[in-house]
Amino acid sequence: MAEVLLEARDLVKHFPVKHGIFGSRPLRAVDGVNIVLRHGETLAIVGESGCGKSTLARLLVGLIRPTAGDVRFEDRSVTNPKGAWAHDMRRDIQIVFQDPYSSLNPRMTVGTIVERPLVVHHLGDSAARRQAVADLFRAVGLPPSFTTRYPHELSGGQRQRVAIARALATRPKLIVADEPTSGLDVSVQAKILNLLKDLQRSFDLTYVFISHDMRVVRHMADRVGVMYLGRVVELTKKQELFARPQHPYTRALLAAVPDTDPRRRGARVAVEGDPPSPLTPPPACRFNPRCPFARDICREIEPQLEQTGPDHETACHLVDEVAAASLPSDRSSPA
Amino acid sequence: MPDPVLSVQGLEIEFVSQGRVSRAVDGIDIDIFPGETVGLVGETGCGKSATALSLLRLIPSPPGRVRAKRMRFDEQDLLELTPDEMRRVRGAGISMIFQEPMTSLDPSFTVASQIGEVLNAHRGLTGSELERESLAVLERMRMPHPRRVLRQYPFELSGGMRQRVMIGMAMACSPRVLIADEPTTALDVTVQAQILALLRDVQRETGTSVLLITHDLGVVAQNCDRVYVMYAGHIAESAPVADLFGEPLHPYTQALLRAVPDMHGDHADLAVIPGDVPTPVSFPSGCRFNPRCAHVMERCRAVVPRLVERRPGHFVACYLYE
Repeated sequence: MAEVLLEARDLVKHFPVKHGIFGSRPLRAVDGVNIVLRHGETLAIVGESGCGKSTLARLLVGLIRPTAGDVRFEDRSVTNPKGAWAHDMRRDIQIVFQDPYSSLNPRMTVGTIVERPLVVHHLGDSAARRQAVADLFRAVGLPPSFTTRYPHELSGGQRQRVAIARALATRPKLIVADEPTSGLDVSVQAKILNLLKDLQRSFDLTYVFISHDMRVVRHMADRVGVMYLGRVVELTKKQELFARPQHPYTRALLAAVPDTDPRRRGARVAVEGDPPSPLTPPPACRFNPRCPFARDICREIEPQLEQTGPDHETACHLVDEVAAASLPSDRSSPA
Repeated sequence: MPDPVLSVQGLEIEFVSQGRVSRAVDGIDIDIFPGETVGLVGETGCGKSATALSLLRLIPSPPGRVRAKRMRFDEQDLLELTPDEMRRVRGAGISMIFQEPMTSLDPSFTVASQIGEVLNAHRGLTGSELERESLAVLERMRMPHPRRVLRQYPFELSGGMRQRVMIGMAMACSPRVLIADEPTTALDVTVQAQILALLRDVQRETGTSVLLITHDLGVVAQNCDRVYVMYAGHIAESAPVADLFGEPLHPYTQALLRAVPDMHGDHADLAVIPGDVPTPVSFPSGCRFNPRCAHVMERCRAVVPRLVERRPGHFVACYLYE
């Protein structure tokens, strides 16, 4: 098994939210997450809005500091980086954001944007940097002549390619991609996803891929962590997750994906209601108010992520019972 | 076959900006029959939302210009109606819901007063009758805690609840046609499933025809009876859903379906369509897909292919089939 690249231990991030005139209460965006990331893999984090997946992305790259817990990259702390590592870790760990409209400086040419990390990290003289930028543009499928353009002159897909080129500039080991295709049309999304896969091979990259879209996750991931209200509720290999989802929430998420085969139609409302606010998460198992299996224990004791099968961890008291029930995604078989 | 409830022929929508005319929709025909759910699918800029707005005459002019050989709804030509007559069609004849219910609800009025306004304007309800019917509107939408929701403001509701309010208001006057423009795009997938199920139930109970505009082929596959695929202001293909997904004919439809990561089988790489979607100012001559098409022929560049019926109900605009 490949060596561990990054490890998150008991990661907690609470944001204070004003409540009343004097008080504030914590928004529990990430509330006790443990993750081990191995060299060369793609770990997808999937969940709905408010589950904490974007906060987790920012914690993993050290953009924000956790309330508690630690992130370690090659056994050095990302949370409290010491000495030169505080600077160098940004070379090894990069992030690509969802919206390439707001993550690229509108006043800079895209060539300058991609060159910036090379300047900041003192990589090469000006001629070498110019060559490197041209190479990066080619690597992400943009003609080097584009370097003199401004972000507003590019399409959404081209902008996301620029953001990827910028992330690649310092030859990072890890890229955290936070919903990199969610604003894009499917035909553009397909190109960006293929590009990310190609770059992973040619640049020897490890990915954390944040998404709300199970179809994209199924295409990209080696392993998948499912988040719900600040907690990872299931973590396993991709094939295992899609073949044998164990957590009732994972099963509901899978069942809700609209299938592109019209012969597979069926009732797919597997959970009712909306996810509760992370300001007031339900006690014990956070999914219990929406869970069709919930009983007293789920309202009293918070389930922990536990080994439930080979390379399969789930945080649910009722794994055996849920496994015995038929999947909500079982649809009328093709006619 | 019964007559269509809404029938548009030769629809053209142009926008004039800085002296330049761009034709976002260029001569399309759409029929919606009673009780059916019709999908209108395509990527950003294909003209699907402009088409939807034009059916309710909601394209502002200037800069917009809408022409059609015919735009018939229930024996009336929508393009001939006076503004007053058109107002009566909206809501009671054809109603519409949008992607982001937060922007289509007024943030400074309660849900009760917004539903009440619709019921008062179109059905003349007042007093306790109005209150009773407002509550019934939410109950029909299976809204949790409907009495409390009536007293609340839009910001106090979740995205899914706001969309339930919007659908309730849109259906309050039993319209013949409901136009739903990306109604679940802003919602989480578990909530999307709830809203689509609600739309299906409402449609079944009332017999209202639904025009569902979406970029999501999965949503089309699961919810529509028939579908139009739009590309760059033209209809590329239209067919019953089973035929379109079972045997797509147009190279664009085929490529689009292969670009969607799906939930079955294994696939190393997603198929890509070379090039980018053109904008109305740069639409190519002939078939608009020709610069990106793997099967392009000489005449594809010269003359726009007509929609021809290859199989009963399955139309395609492509020279491969002529």
